[in-house]
Amino acid sequence: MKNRANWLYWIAGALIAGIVLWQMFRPQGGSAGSGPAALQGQVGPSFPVAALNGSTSALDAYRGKIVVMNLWASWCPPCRAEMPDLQHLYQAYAPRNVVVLGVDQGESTQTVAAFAQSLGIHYPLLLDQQQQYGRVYAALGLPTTIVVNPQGVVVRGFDGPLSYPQMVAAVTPLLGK
Amino acid sequence: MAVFWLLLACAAGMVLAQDAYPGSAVYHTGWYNALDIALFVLAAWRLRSLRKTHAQVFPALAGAAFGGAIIVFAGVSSGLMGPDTHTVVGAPGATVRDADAGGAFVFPLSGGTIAFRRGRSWVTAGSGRRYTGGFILWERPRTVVHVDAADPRGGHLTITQPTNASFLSPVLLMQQTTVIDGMDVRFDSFSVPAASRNVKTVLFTEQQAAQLHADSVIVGQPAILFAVADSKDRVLPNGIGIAPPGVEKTLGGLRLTASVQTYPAVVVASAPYWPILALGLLVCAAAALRLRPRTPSRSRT
Repeated sequence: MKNRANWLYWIAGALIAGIVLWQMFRPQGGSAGSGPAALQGQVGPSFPVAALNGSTSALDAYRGKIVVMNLWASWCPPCRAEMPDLQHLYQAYAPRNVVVLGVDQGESTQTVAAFAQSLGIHYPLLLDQQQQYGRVYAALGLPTTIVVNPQGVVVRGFDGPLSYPQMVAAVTPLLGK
Repeated sequence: MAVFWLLLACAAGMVLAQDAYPGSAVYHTGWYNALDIALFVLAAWRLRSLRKTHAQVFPALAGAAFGGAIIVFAGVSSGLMGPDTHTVVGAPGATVRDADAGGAFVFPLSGGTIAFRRGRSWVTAGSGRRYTGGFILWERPRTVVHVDAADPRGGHLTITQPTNASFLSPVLLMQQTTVIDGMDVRFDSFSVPAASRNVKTVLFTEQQAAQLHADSVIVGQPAILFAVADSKDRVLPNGIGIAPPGVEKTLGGLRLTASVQTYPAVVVASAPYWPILALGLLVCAAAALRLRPRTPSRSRT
């Protein structure tokens, strides 16, 4: 009887030790990523900021559309290089419910307006002077591009410039959904 | 029997202290955990001698010792294997991974509390303690500096922090320290790429600012020193200046304004895994209840 009780103590002890060690060293499924892909699968945060047309707008104003949100600044050469492709994407895919949203990081209205005019940019541009989008979307640099589905969920996040085929490849899986 | 209970209570108390007063470095030292184990071993040794003298209540005492073993194991595992207490600092809006805690801290953009994401679970920290798995979290306010930069015409300029985790943040976390004029001061740096400028920012507290005897310092307010350099880190002529918070200063072709703000960081302290701790306490309590009707005077001693 005593031997049986001893065994029970040993088994219970081993079980508890196992639970403690498992809890301390268990693998963490779905751990947070880093960079602009960190928010993948979550509803994209949205903040009202000034728009170039004088109004106030935000990412969630485009709910129901596939949004290609591009964080950029005029001093950033790779941003300048990819903007004509973003304009092309905006024109080509607007009938298919895709919108390109440029979010300038920290610059003045005059700078952004002059720059957009010089490059012939017609997609919506927001002026994020407090760089809120850049912070929350964990931009590692500029440009940073986030693809958001019509439900407002972040589908992809890219660090660095994209080529036109890469842009098309990013939105294609969402078309017709 | 009193010695047994005293030793067991001391061993368990050392573990419970890790939850009641978390964050002390002493919990992770070898001697603390060795002492805890030693107290438990002495209690177990004492229990052996009670086997004959308190045969009737011995099973209950053994149960209490088993409960104590669970508690001590939970405490020693946390003390020896858990990470040291550390503070996680992040910019507003940033998500900072913490490998020790096995998750990520999401810092609020403004207001709100820091959230901890581990797998699919979310825990919000706060000024009070929050228990999550084998950790206790609580917020600790710290001073940060929010900077604004504009060109000479007043056009707002992008601020970047290439050396910090939050690249596009105008909030400087001021984590580095240096000595200026015998004073330990905190500093940070940022870049203004549109103007090809790098700016070092030094924060002087109210007391330190009072010792500067600079005309631009306002008594009773902190002060911020800017050192503006070009893209090759050469400090520009008229590139160094000091200003109180909220006052614009033109230096090296930039109009700079800083404000001193309080923003939380989060302290992460490992703590014994509470379900195991609770189990140990329950076992001890159950054993103590079994002892109640059998007082030592009625036992066969």
